[in-house]
Amino acid sequence: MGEDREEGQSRDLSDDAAADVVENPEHSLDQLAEEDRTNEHKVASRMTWTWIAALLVIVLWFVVNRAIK
Amino acid sequence: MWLSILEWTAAAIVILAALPLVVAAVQSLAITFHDQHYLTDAQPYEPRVAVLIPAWNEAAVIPATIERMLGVTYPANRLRVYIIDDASTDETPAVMERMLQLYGDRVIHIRRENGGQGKAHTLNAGLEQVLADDWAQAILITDADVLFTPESIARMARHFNDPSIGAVTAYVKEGSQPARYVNRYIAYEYVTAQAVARRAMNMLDAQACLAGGAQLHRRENLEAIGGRIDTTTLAEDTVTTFETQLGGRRVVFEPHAEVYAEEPEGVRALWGQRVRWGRGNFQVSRRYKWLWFHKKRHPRLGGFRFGISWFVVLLQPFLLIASSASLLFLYFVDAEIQFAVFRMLWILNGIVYVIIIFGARAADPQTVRRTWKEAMMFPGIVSMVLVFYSVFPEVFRQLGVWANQQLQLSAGVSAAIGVSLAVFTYSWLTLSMLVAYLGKVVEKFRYGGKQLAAVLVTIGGYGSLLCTVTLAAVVAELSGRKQVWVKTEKKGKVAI
Repeated sequence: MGEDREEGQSRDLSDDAAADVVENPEHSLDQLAEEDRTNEHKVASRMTWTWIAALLVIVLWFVVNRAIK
Repeated sequence: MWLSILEWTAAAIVILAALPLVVAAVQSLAITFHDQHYLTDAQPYEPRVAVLIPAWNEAAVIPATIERMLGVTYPANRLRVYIIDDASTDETPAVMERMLQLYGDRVIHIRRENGGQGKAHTLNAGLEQVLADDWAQAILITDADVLFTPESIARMARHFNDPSIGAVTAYVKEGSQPARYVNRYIAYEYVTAQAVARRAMNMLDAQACLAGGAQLHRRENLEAIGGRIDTTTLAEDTVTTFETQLGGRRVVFEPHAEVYAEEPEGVRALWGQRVRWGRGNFQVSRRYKWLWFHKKRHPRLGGFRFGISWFVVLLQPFLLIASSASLLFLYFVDAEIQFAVFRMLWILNGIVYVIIIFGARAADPQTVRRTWKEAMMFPGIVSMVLVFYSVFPEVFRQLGVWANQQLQLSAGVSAAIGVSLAVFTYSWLTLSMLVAYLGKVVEKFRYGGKQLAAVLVTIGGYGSLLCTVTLAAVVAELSGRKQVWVKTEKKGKVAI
């Protein structure tokens, strides 16, 4: 897996990081997966706030409606 | 008693119009838990990938397409690009000659002498050659105008470490620059239809459709479905998706593999593309009629939740028309029940719409920041006013009284205006489709057509326009209209 990775491929990495990729090709892929998992946790976190906002909208509607009546 | 039963049935039909939005809101809320299902089995894995790009008269964009594809972050000797030239009549063969000299065996040119049969036929010519030798372990199907972000192929390929996965689809984003208003509506629509809905479908473990411009298949998957793309429908990607899953292999959506595609910039072009998609989906619904809501036939595709999320899209225009008719019926039979049901419908629409916007923002904040106006105006101005009217009816009533006093209208005129407004309001779900459709009609006018179309789509709503497209697609299918494959015009204005 990745044993035949060629040098000179277009990775946007510093020289040190590129060397690391050649020595340990799975390293950057692991990093990528970690980064994506973190971003997915952020989506979950933002959605949790959506749950709260949805509840607030419903409560607010009840309150405003009652006040108008 | 019969009237009462009729009234309650009509009331239920009115509320049913909110079902598609409710399903979308449930999908939005469900993605809160997507992270618990994400990348649980994926490991670093880089199979040899053959990229299939069908091309017809794409000489102007092909060099850039090839260079960008070869420039992605992926082992150079594990990626080959196959350009399947569908009998181009431009400079494509000469351009490809130069590309072959530049890139050697990393680029392969497959030339069809008789073309014009459609993308599926073109892809099949490429698949035949790719599957004839055993080099490719995975096959990426894409389009000449699609731009892949550097890590997108690696992000898709890693899923194949899990042997149960047969195909992976990327997140296709609208990437036209400059983006016109239709492009921005599509950009927002794709957030809800892909970044949100496909995440939710990952959780159901059932995907409705692999994106035509970014689908990566395990070689064994394509071989298992016959080594060919279906050519009998207008929805070949959906058929491939269904066949993959019916064969026991999973399809997953990779939300972080982002690719950018050029989408239609006008209503008429959008109409042509979407009617084709709608007709294709109708054909798929018929083709797999034995499957729907039969869990025993397939535990996930045959499940209730997948069936509902599939059919609400096709049924949406009919739900809207039925809802309008029921509201009008109730208005003349029992105005009290009618107004209560009307309010319930629009308040429900308002609440679920807020949830959908929040869900879209959670899934892709960058795109929603860029398209927040289109997100707000997606249902159309009049629908937004109706939501406010339903939430705060007293405000509008006071406004009516004030206007009446200012204008000094006679009781007769005032009552006539009241009835007209009521009929207009209660028919709006259907009228909105008509107004949005007019946008398509007027766009071709030489003077001010495009501007008027934009105004009409803003009033009627982009969502209503999509409903009208679905209606037109169903009518075309039921009336047996000939299906013609028309290539969507691309201008090469996509950029990351």
